[in-house]
Amino acid sequence: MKFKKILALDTALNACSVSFWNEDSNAYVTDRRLMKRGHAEILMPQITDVMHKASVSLADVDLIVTTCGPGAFTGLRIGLSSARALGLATGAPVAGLTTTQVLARQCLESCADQAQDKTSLLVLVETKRKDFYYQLFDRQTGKPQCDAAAGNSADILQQIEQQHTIMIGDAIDRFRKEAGNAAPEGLDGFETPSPEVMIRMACDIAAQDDLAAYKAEPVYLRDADVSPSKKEQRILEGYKG
Amino acid sequence: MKILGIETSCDETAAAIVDSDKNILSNIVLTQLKDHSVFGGVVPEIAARAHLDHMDKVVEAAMKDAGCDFADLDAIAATCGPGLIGGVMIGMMTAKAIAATHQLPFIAVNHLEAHALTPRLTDNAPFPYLLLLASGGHTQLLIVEDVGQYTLLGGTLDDALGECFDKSAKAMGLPFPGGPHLEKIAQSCTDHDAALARFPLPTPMKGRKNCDFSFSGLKTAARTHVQNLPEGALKEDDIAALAYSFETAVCNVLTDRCSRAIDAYKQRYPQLETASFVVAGGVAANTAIRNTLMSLAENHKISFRVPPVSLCSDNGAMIAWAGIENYARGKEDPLNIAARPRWPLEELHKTTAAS
Repeated sequence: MKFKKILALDTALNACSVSFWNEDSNAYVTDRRLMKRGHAEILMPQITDVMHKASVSLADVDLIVTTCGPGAFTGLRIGLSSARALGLATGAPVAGLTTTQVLARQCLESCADQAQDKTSLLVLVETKRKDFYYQLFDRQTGKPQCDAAAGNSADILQQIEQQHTIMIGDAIDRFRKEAGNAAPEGLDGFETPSPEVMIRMACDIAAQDDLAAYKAEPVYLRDADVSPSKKEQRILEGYKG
Repeated sequence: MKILGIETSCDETAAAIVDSDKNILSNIVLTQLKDHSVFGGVVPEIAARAHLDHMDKVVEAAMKDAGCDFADLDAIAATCGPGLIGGVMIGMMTAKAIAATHQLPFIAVNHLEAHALTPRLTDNAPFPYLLLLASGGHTQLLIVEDVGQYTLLGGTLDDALGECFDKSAKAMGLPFPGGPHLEKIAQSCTDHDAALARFPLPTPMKGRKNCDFSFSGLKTAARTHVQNLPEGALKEDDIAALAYSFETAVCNVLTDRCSRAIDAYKQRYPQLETASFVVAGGVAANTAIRNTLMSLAENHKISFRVPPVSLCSDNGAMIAWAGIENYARGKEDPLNIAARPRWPLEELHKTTAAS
């Protein structure tokens, strides 16, 4: 499959980002804003603005790509609900990419010649709790070496070889504080997903006819934080409702 | 004019298409009751996840049921508050995306206003009418003067009435959501006088000069009765009697508070020929309450209206209708509107957007 007009969006982490790519001009129109909150307000005006600048109708978009987590639950749901509704409204397919995949690709695209002795790439995404969302990638092939997961710094350190690993993501400063000397070398500049990179990834995936494997489904990596009510409910004998 | 309405503010994922001739062309409501029942109440994060999982399919089904294309629509309306914010955002973003794609007007609907205007969809209620809005999240008495114009007479100081029902029912060992179960088991109470004598309950706020409510004391009193029942499994007869007494207390409270509100409404509009008292919200599904309020209205010689049960609880049709009423008066919202966890009817015209 080949797509000609691709819209990508990301609201899962500390940015609200939109990019549109048109094959005709092979040009991107991109709007990337760092922000911690307010994604639900900014996203749709950003999208209409980007489409306006590209002089293409939103209805003509033929592929929609969104990040689907791991990240802030509310944030990733803003992106996913918008992307799915855009899919419904345009009839275009909707693909989901994980934040860790996109950040890894971003790093591989721009830092291939840096720290070449590092064979593994560790992506660390903030959970705003004690643990980290993380995923390991092969530095050469870009292929994941494990599934994305949530774990504490000790779990993660067990899975990496410090001297052969380089780490990126919005949680590396906190990881460095926790892991101390055991932390691998870190690279700044890969804290939020680039929607342009997402478009390139989607093109590659589509070229291999593998789009169906990238569903626009949420990747929470954590159950809803609730426990069944602790207040003991008395039994009502024989009640059938 | 046809409008798609989307509702995701609590535990129902809903979408409907309604036209300006008051035809409900489709009305899909997906309830998440099962997702929440093990927790004994609506869990916001679970609700938000379920809304995301089902939202696009619910909209698709509503479009298909109505035999509509997006191009046939005149506007898209969605609840933008008040409610559980994570869920509200799902419906709001869905509506914004469809509106943006098809260049349709977007209308940010206040969930409470949608309940308040439902009697105009179902019963052609003429303005101004007196409204009792009672649900799991809200309990208010207000005069609906016109679209967008509400005079609040009173509201609850603590629990909402539906919440008081559900929590008391839970204490009685009834399954979630307890309101309907409480009503059912109360109907099996045979000796009403004995029930009232055995399980006396307070009628909070009765006789107060305002139109406010308070239900937490009633809830606590009901719980205390349950605690005082013999150890071991609760007996159905006991609970039937307690449930009857509970419903009676609620009806007494409502009679007192609504009677005061009717007086206030009549004082404000002494010459009104079309005076009517309307009940909306999930609690209006309770038969004992409906009957009590109906006779109250009769005694005060004003007409009584209550929407059908399916339109009392949360649904998309009421959102679509509120959209139609607002759009007909020229209201349209920009796509940068924020979802609002709190959005009292008195502040209806204050919307917030990103700066």
